[in-house]
Amino acid sequence: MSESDFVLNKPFVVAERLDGEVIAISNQSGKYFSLGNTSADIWFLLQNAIPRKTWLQILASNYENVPESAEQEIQSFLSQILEEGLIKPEELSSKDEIDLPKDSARGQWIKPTLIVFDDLQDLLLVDPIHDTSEAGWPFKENG
Amino acid sequence: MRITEADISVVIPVRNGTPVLARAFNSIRSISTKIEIVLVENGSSDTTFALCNQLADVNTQVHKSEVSGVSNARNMGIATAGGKVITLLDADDEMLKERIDYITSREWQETDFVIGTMKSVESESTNFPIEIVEAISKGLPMYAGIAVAFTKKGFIKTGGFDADLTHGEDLDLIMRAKSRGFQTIYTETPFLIRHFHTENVSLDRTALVSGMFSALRANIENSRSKKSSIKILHVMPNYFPHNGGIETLMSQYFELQADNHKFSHSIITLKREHDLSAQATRGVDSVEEIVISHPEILKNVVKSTLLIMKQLRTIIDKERPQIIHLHGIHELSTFTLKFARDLQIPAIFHFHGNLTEKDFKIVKPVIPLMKEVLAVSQATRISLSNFFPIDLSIQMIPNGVTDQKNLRQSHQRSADPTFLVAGRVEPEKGFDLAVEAFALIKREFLGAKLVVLGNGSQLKELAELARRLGVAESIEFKGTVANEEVIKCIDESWIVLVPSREIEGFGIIAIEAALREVPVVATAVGGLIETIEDGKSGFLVSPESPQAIANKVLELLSNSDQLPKIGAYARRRALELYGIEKFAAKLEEYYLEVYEREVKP
Repeated sequence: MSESDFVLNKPFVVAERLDGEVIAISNQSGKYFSLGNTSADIWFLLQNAIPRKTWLQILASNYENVPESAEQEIQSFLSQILEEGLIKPEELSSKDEIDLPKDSARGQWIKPTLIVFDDLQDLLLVDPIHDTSEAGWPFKENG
Repeated sequence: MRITEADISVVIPVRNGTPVLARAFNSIRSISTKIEIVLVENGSSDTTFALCNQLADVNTQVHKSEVSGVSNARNMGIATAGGKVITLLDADDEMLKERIDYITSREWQETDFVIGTMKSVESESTNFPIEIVEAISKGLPMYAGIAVAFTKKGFIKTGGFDADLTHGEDLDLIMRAKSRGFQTIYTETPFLIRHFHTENVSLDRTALVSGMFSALRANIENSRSKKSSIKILHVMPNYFPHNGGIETLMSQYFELQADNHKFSHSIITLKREHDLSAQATRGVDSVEEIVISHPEILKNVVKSTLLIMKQLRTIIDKERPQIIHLHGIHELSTFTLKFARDLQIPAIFHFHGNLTEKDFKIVKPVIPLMKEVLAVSQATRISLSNFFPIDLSIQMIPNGVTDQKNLRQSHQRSADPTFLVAGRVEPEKGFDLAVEAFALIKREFLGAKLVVLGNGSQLKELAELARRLGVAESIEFKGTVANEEVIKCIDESWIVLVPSREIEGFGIIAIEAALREVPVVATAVGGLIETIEDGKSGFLVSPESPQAIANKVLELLSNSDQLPKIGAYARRRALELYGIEKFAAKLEEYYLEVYEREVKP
């Protein structure tokens, strides 16, 4: 599967990036995931449908001491998130250059890793968005 | 705990809910008029508050929350609710009878957190996640973070809804409850009819989703810090349902450090069949309990010991704590020390009472394995030094007690002179002396009463003694009760009796009584000599003498005006010397010392 393109497996995956950490939820499995550093940036590339073949170059210009094994590490990370149903294959056309988010300091290359949490599976298959807002609780029915 | 409809409170927070509130209210009333409804209005720009008052009946409370936010409104409603079990409803949803039937049909533990499902969607909704709408329409169970029920006592211990979260607060609460050892129970029982509308879910979907992520992130942080904490495995065979001093002390400590992730605790207990059914008395804390089941059916003691040993070994091996904290001398103590040595885990041996000749014989073979020894009082330390090698350093950390400020003023002293003894009903506690003393007191005060809290091997003998002395009808044996009930019994007492025999290491009940400003008459033995300042914070009498106890009590009753003054001084002193925070700080400092000394290198 090397060099195949992938995108996020929407609508089964929802994610948010907070201070450089991505938290993703699979509403198929009810698991949630934490992705930091390089893995958060890979997520960003997936989210923006950046072709796979340009990834290493983008990442290498943002991290120091990128090892030779980096390509291999990215690949095994992709296998893992594919297995968790977070991404799906999709052919992508070339894009303009993109800048990685500037919400966290990058330094040494860190092997991309996925941390999986399954302690709230039942709960996350729940009514995940529960409606309250300043306009009223839970809402104002007729406008 | 079983619940009737009258024990249920439904809390409904509402802002600008005029068009829908009556529907929610009536959905409850059509099920039962006995259920309490708590309406909390906040910040409406329409006539919602007037509508609340208009709907209210005899079993409805109406409140106006001045502090903005749905979480504040829910917390306020729950705080004022009178029910034992609380359940929530949103003003635009409808209550289902199935929820009430479910709540009343189950046996409740304080730490239960029930999550039900939502039913049918009247969906003109276009914006709600399609998979959820579809799942509901297919009849799949859809659990809802708002379709919940929990005990009021339990809720207080979760810390309540986080008012800083405008969204995701329900998820956050459930996650916090889970991390504090609550049992989350999922039931497919439909709890509510959810009305989805284009208006409601589309209002601020981004903020809703972001709230959920914030809650998840907090949970991730929580589990991260837990992972980096020092793992302590406590060996405490009697940890609840028995509420002796050790259990009370440690449960109060666990409760205090629920949010402190520097240490993570778990407990090994040893339980017999009948103990398992009595677990309800255990308070809420964040600590995992690992139970060794006692094979009591086996007459063969050797075989039964082997079975216990095997379970113990497996648990320690699997848990691999950084430190083992062994409380007192019991069936598991010598084996624990041996396994700890084999696995190179440092073990702290915590003596909660003075060492006797009999106990010394039990631990003698493993004394060379004791490296870290902790005593609850100077008296205990001295008793140990009689038996232990001279170069073994013994640390002393006096016990601590939680000051239950929130219960102040809610209990009243009984009209008749009432006395209390509490603890394990074992010979060393001297409850028989209290019963004999009580018979002497009762000659002067006919209406006097004695309350006995706790269980133990001497219970039958004690009842028999009371009968023989003709005071059985004035003595109430309450058995093992929850901590809150202990406090209530102390508050109702005029004087608390602590008639312990020689081996009393500390006598935590004396401090509990002091914090409640109830004077104590105790025997001058062991740690009691340190915990009680004779004549000022309480009174010490000669051990083994019912007459001495009775004389002191009668003397105090004849001049009962001075009791409040003694009580007040005792409280000040107890707060200064024996607060649970002091105990926690010293214990954790000690854990770190042991960790630095024996684990880190």
